[in-house]
Amino acid sequence: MDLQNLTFFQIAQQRMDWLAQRQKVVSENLANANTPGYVAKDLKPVDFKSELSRSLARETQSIPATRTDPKHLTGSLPQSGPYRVESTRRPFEYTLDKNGVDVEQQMEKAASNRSQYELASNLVMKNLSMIRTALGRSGG
Amino acid sequence: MDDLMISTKISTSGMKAQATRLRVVSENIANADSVGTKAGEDPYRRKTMSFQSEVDRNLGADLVKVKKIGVDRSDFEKRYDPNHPAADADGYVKLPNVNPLIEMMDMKEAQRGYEANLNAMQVSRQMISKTVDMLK
Repeated sequence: MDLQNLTFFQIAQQRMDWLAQRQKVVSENLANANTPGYVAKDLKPVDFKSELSRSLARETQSIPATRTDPKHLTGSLPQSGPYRVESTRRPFEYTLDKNGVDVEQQMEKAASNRSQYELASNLVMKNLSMIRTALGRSGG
Repeated sequence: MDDLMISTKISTSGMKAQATRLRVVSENIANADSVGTKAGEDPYRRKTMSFQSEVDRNLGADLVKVKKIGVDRSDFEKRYDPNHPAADADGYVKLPNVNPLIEMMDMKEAQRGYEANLNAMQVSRQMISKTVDMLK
């Protein structure tokens, strides 16, 4: 049985992916909290419409470039996560050196990332234990 | 989980940059009274530094690095002290252009920045350990 075929695990995995990628963006913002000219970034929130069209598009396209020679490289650029990063349009405040990172806001984002990630991972564990119960082992 | 690993690396770069800043501040404070030894010689000149964000192609993320450690070109203050070995012909000694108040503010800001990065790193690590806990 592939757990990925269960819708619930797919949802939880996507949620955790999104939060992990967002945590990366928040770290970038905090690391650059004193860099002149840097404006905070955030992940685009996932909405139902775009997700639906994306998942429909995923089934039809996604044809990788064919490697006709074993010496062809797959490319070395890291895949940026599947979710879009966008910079904040109107930052809360700018410092004199045109830095637009609000540390408090980023801290709040980091904290909410953590708690939502915990929620998702706890739900996964709970569901696993329910499956174990159904299998007849001591699920806990 | 890969993103979380990368985010700890990003936080590390931020901490490094803030630590360098603290080093520069320490140099400035330590040399706040370093005047010349010969007549008319220039005293210690305050050092400045600035940050720059840099795209790391391996990680695909904006890291931060120290752009340049420069010097503050502002004028030196003078004090009338004819007996001093560094006094010029008129009896004035040039003093370093270090303002302890500015250095203190810079130090506090470096501390806050360091703490913010440390916090982000802790959150990332907690998320990683939460993922590992799912193996239980």
